[in-house]
Amino acid sequence: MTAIAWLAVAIFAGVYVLIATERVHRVAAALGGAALVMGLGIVKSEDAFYSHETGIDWNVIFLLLGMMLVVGVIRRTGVFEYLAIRSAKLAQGRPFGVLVLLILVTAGASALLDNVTTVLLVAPVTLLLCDRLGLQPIPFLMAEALASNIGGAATLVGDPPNIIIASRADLSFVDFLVHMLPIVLIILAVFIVMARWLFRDALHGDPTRAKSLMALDEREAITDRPLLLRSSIVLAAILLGFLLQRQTGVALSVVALVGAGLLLLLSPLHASDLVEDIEWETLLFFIGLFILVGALVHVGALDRLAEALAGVTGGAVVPTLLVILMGSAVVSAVVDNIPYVTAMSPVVASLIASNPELGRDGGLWWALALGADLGGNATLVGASANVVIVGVAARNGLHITFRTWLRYGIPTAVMSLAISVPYVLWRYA
Amino acid sequence: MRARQLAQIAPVVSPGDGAIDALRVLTSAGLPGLVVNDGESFMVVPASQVLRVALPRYIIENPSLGRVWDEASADEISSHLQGKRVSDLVRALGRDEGLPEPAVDGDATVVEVAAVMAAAHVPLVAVVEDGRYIGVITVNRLVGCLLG
Repeated sequence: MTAIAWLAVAIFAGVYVLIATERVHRVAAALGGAALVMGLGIVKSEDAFYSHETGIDWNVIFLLLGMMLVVGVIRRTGVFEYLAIRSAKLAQGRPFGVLVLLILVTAGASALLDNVTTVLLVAPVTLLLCDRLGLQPIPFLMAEALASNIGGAATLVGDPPNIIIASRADLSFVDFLVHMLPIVLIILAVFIVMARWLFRDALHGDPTRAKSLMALDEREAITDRPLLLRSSIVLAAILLGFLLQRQTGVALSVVALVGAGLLLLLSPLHASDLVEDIEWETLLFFIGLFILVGALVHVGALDRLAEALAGVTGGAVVPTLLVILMGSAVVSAVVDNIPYVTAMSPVVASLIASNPELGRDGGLWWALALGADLGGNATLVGASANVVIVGVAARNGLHITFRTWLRYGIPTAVMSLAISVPYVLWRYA
Repeated sequence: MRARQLAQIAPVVSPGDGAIDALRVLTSAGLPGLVVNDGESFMVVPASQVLRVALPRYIIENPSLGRVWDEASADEISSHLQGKRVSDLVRALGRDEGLPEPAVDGDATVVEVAAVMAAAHVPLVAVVEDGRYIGVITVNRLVGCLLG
């Protein structure tokens, strides 16, 4: 590699270390790194802003932006609080039944919304339910974060790494439903069975407290019925747009933005309030990462990494699938999966280019998605949803330690991987 | 008019007193806050801030969740105060160290009292004369005086 290529690698590695160690805010690290590679002339502004190969992926940015706006409206309707309380009442307050239904609600919501938003919506109502039932809330909160990471893997919009992969690999919403949804449903079903054993200590409630739960009026949680109806229609239209993407040829980002615009017009909420709901930090983080990774692509560093990986696996399908799946799970267990997937996508593209068998039915892409999405469950810092749920717990006087997380997270991540490996080999090898 | 002329008699509680007993004192005296004296200085716990201890944190952060709370169970809220002390209320307040002590000298002017009340973010201040507590001035009484 050339000196300029090594420089780009060193900058990226430095940024990655800063993000992983949290010594600097991740946005500052990513944008600082992007400024360096542009300032040093490693990438030019045309490459960074206008190139599909080495620049900012505006499809990803605008898809995220559109969905953030949509979620901003829907979250204010109280529908998630309604669903959580309704579920607990359906389970008649039986602890395991409540746990199962909360897992299903969280995983289902995470498939459509981002995981952090989902757990932020479900956690407070979970605390209320546990209070009423006299249950220890920590296992319930943790189960929701784990379920959120599992459910988010199911769809293109469920987890940011999936959005990146879809954009880089030109995969559609339907592709994700065909390839990711079945395995996610299996993992979720096993997780539910496992939860009975995993959280067994927390599933002993006082049956007399169920009456107190049944007294909660979930209908009161809906704050704006007309808005709920309108946003449900718009969300359904967005999903239809996602499903028909191949037929219509309209990019997902455009579908999300049109939906968001429509909701802004139909909603009585002030646009300025909704704009506050946009996670600008996340969008800026993505922008910085795209420029940084673009620099690595530009100097050919990721092609070299792909060649090195191919050297290790001999370019054969089975070892490459396994290395990408398991390697991604291990890396994502300890560091943010967004920069990992951003950097690995060009590597995977390069591996497929050198051996098209690896890309049969998108096999290597699904291995990357499964590893990156599900590996994050292993540790407290492995996924943003985990960090958020620990924060919500702490604010309510509940302390989830790193060790406590490992006790539940490692078995969940190992189980997910143990199911994903034969699935990937069976479908794509 | 001076602070001593505006002051009204009001009970003072100490950090070790029970929170529920202290709040009963507050409601029976019709005060907008609790005057606490730890032997060295005065503190004021605004009545609205007592709710921070009484209500679960997840309700404070998501007031819409309070809507689903049935009225029959509303008295459960007070159970959160069981066993709590006045010191717990003070701690929950998390007052900024930079704020002035909510107390004025008996000789303080009306505007001086208003300034202390505004700066300390409290609805009443203690009035102290020669190291002796003589009463409180509430925001209602102060504003009434300012409006003439």
